[in-house]
Amino acid sequence: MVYDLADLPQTLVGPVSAGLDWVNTREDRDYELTGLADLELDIDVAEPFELSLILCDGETCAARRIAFTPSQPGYSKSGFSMTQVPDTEPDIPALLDPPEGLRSGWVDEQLAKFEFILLLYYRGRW
Amino acid sequence: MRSYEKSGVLEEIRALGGEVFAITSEPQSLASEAATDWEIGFPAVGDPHHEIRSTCKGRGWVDVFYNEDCGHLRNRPWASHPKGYYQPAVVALHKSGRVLYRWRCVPKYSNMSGAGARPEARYTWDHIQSSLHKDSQVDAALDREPQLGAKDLSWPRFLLILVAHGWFLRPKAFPLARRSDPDRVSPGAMMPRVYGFVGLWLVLLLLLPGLWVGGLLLLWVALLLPGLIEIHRQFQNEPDLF
Repeated sequence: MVYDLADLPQTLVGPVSAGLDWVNTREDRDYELTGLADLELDIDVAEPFELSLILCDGETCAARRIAFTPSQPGYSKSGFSMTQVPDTEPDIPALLDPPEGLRSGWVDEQLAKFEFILLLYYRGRW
Repeated sequence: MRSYEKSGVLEEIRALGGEVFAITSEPQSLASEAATDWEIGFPAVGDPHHEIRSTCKGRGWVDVFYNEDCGHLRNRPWASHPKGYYQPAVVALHKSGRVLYRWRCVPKYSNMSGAGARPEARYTWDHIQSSLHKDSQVDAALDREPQLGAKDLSWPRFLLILVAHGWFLRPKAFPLARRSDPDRVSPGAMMPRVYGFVGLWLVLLLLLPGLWVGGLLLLWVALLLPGLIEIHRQFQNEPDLF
C-alpha cells in the first residue's frame, strides 16, 4: 500500500527528507518523493527503522527501501546513517511510472509537435 | 513493430513530418526497456493509468480493448498493468485531430485473444497516405478487415501449444523474452513435445489393456480441465458491437 505524504506523521518528515537527499546524492538523480510504501505509523525514530520511498523523476519512478540508524549527535547532519536494503522491489510497487496525470495531455503535446502521429498500442513486455 | 523500421515506413513517415509511438499499459520503465531491446527505432510510451487510451476513447478516435485479468502472467512477478493490459490497436491522427487510420483488435478466440497478427506496416502507411492526400475533413472509418502481417493459429491449436508448454497439466502462456528470463521457451518448440506426448499414449495403448488406458485418459482430462476452464476465463472473447 502506498501512503499519502499529506498524512505523514511529523516525526517522519525529517527522516523522509534525509532519505530523499541521500538517494539523490548517491544515484546522482533528481527524484521527488511521491509516496511511501508499507509504512508503519508507530515507528520510533530513536531506534533503527526502515522506510520504502516511492520516487519519481519525470516519467520514471522507482522504489528504494532505506534502513535508518540514529547516529550520535553531531556525527551526521541528518541525524541518521543510511543504507539501502537490497532486493525489496518484488514486495513493493516499484514500477509506478509515470505518475498519474502525466499522460492526460500527452496526445495533444505530440500533435502540436508533428504533422501527424501514428500510435501502435501493444500488449506489453510479457 | 520492428517492421516499421525494417520496411522503410518509419523513415517515410518522418520525412513527411510524422512520428510513430508504441503505447503500452505498462510503466515507462518497461516501455523504455522494450524499445531498446526490440530495436523498434521509435519511442515506446508507458501509459499505466490508461490516460492516452482515455483520450483516444473520449474524442471518439478509437476505443482500445484491454483485459484486467492478468492471471496467466503468474510466472512474471515483474509484469505490471495496474488497470489491465492493452489489446493491439493502431490509430493515426493528423495535427488537426482528424483520424487518418484506425484499427483495433477485437480479442476473440479466433485471434488467440489478441495475440494474433496486426495490420502490416506498409498497408497501414498506404492508408494513412491516402487519407493525408484527401482534402476531406472526414475521419477514416474503422478498418475491419486489414491486411495482416501473419496468419493466426486456430484456438484449438493455440490451446494445444499452451497445454504442451505447461507439460500437459495446466495451460501456460508464452511471454515475450526479457533479459532476466531463466527458461524462455518458444511456441515453435512445443510441437515435438506434443508428438512425444501422443507417442507416449500410443505406447501405453500397446502395452496396457484398453480399459486401463481409457481410465488414465479420463484421469488426465480431469486433471487438465481446471486449467482449461481457467484459461478460457482469463483470455478475452469479445463481441464486436461496432
